[in-house]
Amino acid sequence: MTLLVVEGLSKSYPRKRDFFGRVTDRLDAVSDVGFTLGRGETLSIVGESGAGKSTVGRLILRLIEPDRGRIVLDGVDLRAMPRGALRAHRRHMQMIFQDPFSSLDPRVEIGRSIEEPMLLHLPLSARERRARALALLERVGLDGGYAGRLPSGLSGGQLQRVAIARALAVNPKIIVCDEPVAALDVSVRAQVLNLMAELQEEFGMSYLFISHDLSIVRAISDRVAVMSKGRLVEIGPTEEVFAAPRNDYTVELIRAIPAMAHG
Amino acid sequence: MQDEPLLEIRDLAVEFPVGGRWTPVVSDACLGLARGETLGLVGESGSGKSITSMAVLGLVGELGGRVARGSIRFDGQEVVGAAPSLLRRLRGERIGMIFQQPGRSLNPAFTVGDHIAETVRRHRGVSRAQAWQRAVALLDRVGIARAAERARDYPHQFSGGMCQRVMIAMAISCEPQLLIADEPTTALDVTVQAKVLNLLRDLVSESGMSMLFISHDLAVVSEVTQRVSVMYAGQSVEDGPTAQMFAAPRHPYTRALLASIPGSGRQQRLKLIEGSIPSPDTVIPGCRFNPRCTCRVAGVCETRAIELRRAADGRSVRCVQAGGMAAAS
Repeated sequence: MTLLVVEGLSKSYPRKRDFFGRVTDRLDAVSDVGFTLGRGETLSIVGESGAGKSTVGRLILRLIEPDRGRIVLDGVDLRAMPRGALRAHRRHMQMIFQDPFSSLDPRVEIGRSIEEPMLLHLPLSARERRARALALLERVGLDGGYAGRLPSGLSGGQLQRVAIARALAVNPKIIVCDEPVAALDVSVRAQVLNLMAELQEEFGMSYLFISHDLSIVRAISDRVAVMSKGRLVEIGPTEEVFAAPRNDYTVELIRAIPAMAHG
Repeated sequence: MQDEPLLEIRDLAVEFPVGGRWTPVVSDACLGLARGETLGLVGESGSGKSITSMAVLGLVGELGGRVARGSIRFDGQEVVGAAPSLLRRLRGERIGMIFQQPGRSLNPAFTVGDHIAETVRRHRGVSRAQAWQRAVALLDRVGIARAAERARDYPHQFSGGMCQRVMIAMAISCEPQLLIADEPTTALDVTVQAKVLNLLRDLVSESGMSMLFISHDLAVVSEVTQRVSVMYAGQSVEDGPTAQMFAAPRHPYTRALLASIPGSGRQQRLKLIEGSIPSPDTVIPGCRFNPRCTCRVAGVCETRAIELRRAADGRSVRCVQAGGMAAAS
């Protein structure tokens, strides 16, 4: 069942201006990108830096305003919506970023950071919010004692768990994950990825997983979309794309994955 | 002399002040690097792999730390406690170094050619014109197209991969015996990474220099190294030929680390290591890995320090169960 439909999504930035300030050249960060995302599905967007994959994630959440294109979530056209009305819909789409150290306010206690999105989106009393924050903390594998701590007292993996708890706080339908484990140590990476898989089974949300790490993408995605120079060059079920890539750029990308010496 | 390893580190301990107390960041590093060999130094953050390489360059003091114990011999000479003049000659001339963030190591106000020519002039005392010529030749060697022209460009006109090539050109400009590469491709895109790794492999095989390749990425390490040394929380825990170690790891940490890498195909769950990496000021009696280890022997692993033991086949491992495991593998 389709949850999100994206069509003709485009965004360009002025690159050069003439003497009078008129734009003479534009950089197409994202051009004409379209795909669908099913309920409970994990779709990964891969590509190299500058390919436009993170911009797509931000455009869908309208953190950046698209130039053109349609974004339809559960039958509601988000682009046709004025910014004020958009806020209510934001709770359906949450985001997790690469660097957990800079995505949490260093002076705000962990528990309060998790309560914050509830404050905006859910009609709960202070006590209910507190209880929910503690339950979410435990659900991501951190005991309630962490609620009173500041981000500086937690490791990168623990902070990413907090970011996940915060994204979950408002029961989103989609979580856009922008390189969520790229900054984590190898032994901690698997813990966070497994937690994300468990939560998806439990709550049924969809993941739009943005990553440059093809070996991780292969292990966790149902489908994969490949981007190059702002365009979506290939999309399909993960194993089909890896086994028989159709696009030359995808071939190059897969060939460049360092292979382990043993089988 | 030729049989002696180019670099030998024994029982190295490096301390840094944490909250007013000297705290060991590296507590027991041991490794040997033969001439012409590429050794992978593998570990996660806080394992002490980068600090170990800083100690080889004699730079621990500049970072505010101190070498508390142990020895580092480079080409038969002791580096620990060596005179600053000797260390200066070692750095750049006999040991080259490249880092993770190539852009940050280049001065934006100088052309890339200036950077390389300056290194050549400092260590070789040649004329400006000769140094420039050598810079252009080096740029060409590291695969920069139209080198004579591009030498006049500034770092911001180069991509990340090209900046790393410039760093490599600087590092090899004095034909060092050892190249230390600290996560050289971590910040690069995967296709660029493949090209830079190829370049490093070519340079090592044609010059005969040794390379200490520091990385957390086991797949990359398996592609470029002949031997691997694994560090965990400040200690060397396993050492051996790359292919053998990856096929049959003996330390439980190495085994878990290798198992946690996703294989090919969609997976329901990844194998993982429970717990997290201890911070340097956490006191863990016995084996540093024992709180996370699945084959811990109660009453042994958490009570006494474990030695790094060398087996008959030349592989070393710091684990009480290593004897049985070596027999099994």
